[in-house]
Amino acid sequence: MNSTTNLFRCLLGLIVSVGSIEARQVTFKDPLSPRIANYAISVKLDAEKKMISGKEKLTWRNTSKDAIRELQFHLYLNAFKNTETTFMKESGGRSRDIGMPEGGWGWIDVTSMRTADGENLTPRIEFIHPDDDNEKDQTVFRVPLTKPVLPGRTIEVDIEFRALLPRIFARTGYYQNYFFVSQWFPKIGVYESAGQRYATKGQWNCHQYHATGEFYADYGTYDVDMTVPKDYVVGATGVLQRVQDNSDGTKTVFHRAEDVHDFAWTASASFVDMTEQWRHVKIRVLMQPQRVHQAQRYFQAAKATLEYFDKHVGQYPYPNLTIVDPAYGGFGSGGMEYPTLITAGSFWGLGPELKFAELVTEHEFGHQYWYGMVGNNEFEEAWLDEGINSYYEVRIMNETYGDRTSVADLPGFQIGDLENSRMSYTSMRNPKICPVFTNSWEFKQGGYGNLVYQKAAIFMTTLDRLIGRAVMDTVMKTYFNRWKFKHPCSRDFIDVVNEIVPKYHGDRFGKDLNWFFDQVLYGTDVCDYELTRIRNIEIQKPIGVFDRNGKKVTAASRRDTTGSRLFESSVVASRLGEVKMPTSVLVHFDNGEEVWESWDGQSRWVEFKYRRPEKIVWAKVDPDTVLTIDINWMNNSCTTEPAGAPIWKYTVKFLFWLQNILQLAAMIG
Amino acid sequence: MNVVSIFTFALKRATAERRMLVLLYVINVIVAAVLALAFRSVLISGFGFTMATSELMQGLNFNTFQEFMLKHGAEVGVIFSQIGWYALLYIIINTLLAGGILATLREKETRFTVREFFAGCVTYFFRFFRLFLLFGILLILLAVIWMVVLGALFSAVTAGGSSEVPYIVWTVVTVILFFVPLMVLLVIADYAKVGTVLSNTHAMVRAAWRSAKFVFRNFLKVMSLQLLMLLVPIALFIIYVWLDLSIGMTTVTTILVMFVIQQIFILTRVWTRVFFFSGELELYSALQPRR
Repeated sequence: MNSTTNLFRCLLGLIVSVGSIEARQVTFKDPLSPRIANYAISVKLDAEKKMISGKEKLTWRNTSKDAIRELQFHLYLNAFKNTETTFMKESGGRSRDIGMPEGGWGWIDVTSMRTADGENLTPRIEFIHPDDDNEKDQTVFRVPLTKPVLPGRTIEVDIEFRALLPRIFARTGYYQNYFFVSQWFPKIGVYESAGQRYATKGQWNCHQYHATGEFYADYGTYDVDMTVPKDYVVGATGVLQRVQDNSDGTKTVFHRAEDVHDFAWTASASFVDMTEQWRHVKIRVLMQPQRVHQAQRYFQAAKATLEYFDKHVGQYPYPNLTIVDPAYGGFGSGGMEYPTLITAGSFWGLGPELKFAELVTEHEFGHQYWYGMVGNNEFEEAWLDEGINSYYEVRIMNETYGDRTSVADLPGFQIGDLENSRMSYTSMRNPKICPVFTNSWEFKQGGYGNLVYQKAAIFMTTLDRLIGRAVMDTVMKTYFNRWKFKHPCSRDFIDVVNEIVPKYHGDRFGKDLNWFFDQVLYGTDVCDYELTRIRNIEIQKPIGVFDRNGKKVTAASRRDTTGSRLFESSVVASRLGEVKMPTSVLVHFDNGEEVWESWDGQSRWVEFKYRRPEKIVWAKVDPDTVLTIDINWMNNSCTTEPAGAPIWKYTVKFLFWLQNILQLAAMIG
Repeated sequence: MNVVSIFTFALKRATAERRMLVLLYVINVIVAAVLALAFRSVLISGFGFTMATSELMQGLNFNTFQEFMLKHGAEVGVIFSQIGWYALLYIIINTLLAGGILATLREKETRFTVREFFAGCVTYFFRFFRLFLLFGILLILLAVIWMVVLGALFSAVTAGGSSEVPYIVWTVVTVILFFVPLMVLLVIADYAKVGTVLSNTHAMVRAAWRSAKFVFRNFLKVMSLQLLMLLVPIALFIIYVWLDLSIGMTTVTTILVMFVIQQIFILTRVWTRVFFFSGELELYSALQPRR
């Protein structure tokens, strides 16, 4: 190689690099996040072999005060490697009721790992198992460094990897020509300094891939180019920079994402690419061809959700959002969130009466806030994203599609999202199985979804109704603004509640609301208030012999000749569960008058007594259904005059359908 | 007689047997009411004095329904598990009643009496019961064969699909392909009863065989009449659904109104059974003169 050639190559390299810098669009002039973990990845998809191979340059900044002597990485795809991985053992090869297809294994190998100085780290890679004793699990590795990364300094690591994608059943993989590629590249863990979240000393937080629970990573930038067959449509996290056609029948799609903590992409020859605009956000929907007619449902749900979050929480700063409609056979990738890209789910012929497409779009978009921008540790405190997000899901779904119809609106059968959430929690065989505040992988006896998503959603709704919507919105806005692009923990959220609520309510709820979270987040007890008894006793004139003015007077009749009647009435409300919440009791008299009684809910029972000419007709504890966390609403009311009509209504309906069934059977006789 | 005139005749004939219709309707009500009243008891004890029931007036309030089922699902389950046994009992009762219905319809000039009706029931019960067993076995065989054949066909067509559309289309096709032979089998069973009454045979296998031959030899006419008669209950059902959606059951008055409409609908379903027998009897008599 002569010097002219070298000079030419240098110039060409300079032109190319300058060109690529110019071509790269910067999304945010000022970074929104600390940008600790920054990646530049080139990945090539072999659509025939279902393999990917990639080169990754990681630039990691040590923001702690510690000298970092080792790095820890996730290799999530190894969760699908064999039956011995922690994920496969925990899940039994099933995820969200979808079984692993036969032979659909997946794996990832790091073929080379070097520092920018050229130090070969590959031989030092050592798999570790921070969460269990499973030595066969290869989803986390550590690599010791000869030169520590000093505080404030940066390390660059060049990694080469290749991976076989699994058949889709849990988030990632392929089905025919549909590829959904997530949790796919060697990804550095989070180094938590002493004092950050629960860390008492500086340490890596790098968990294995588990059957329940999700992920945790630092914010940064991602420059990713994906080489795929030319006829494939690609969707990915971040903003499309350019597309380059290659001579080998492939194309390379360049994306850049800023201030995100993950990168996912999808490619398929079948996608129908559709876009609409909402203010500054370009919404792109990648639809399966047979379901194009359902795309509007995604667009409408996404716009309604963007609008709602913008108004009630804060601005969505990214310029785009991609919604992926999973392929038939690839439903396991549906209903998942990644920064600026979500997977939803629809089904041909399924009408808008069943709002699954809307619900999943709303939920996964909500994660752009709770997971995406507010980056809690999903492994350890999943309620902070799933629970809070499910609470917003209930709010948005019910306000957009109706309290009673936001999940299903069929003739004679309707369900709202709050009802759906309550059902999931209240129908648990043992709602005391585990506190919501539990590591995701430690829900060994089940209940992860019921508690982390639904119980959290309904206790957040209870909090909302206790402190009022306006105060709740202030709490959530404060929490969002304070913790966006950071890693908060449960304590940080509670601290915000304790800071805001007394400003508006004084000491109405005590000096803080720790008592609330101690019960519903850290505790396992259930809340159940009951209206136990109504009693109306007419006060009658005494009879017998009485001394009056020195004489014996006999009164024989209990009847009051004046015609006036007086009742000694009472209502007893009880606390059947261990959870104590302030509540009220509404008492309704037969003249239509109503009396509201306050009850701090502390004692086992409380009795309210009245001496009035009217009888009590009915009474309700928690009449405004503030306590959505109450596991039984049916026992919250009691009446002295039970309505017979509803009973007759369902008896008559039952009789009619039974008669029909009998007549149908008569055809055989 | 052509199919349309037989259809018209059957309409009139079935409607003319008012006393028999009332009798059949009362039997239906009595059988169903036993379980319906048990269901009512569960509702009363389950809901007790709660006001949550008022939520059920405007529709099926999911919270109330779900909480009721959580507490009393076991009792409701017991009631629902009885429906199968009730259906079996009702099939046997109808095996008995079919003899009475056909004997009554056969005697066009004779006035209906309960005594003669039940005499007809008793006369044919054991013969019809044997037919029931025979066709029951055939029905199970048909179901098994069809499920194996259609299951294999379904798997072959939908395996490795790239879209859910073929899956849904083939599900519908499979159901239709199951119901067509089922309907033919039930029609043969009906004509076997009709043939038994008209020819007073005791050989039930032969009656079934003769009925099958009759149905297949006159397939077009038999199925035309069957489909034409089927339009009547379908039309009645559509009218009922329209009334149900229009009126609803949200007040005491509408509950009462709908109860009356529902019972009229059940009466029409009882009438439909008589109507079908009447048409089948007439067609059989016209195409296969009595020996």
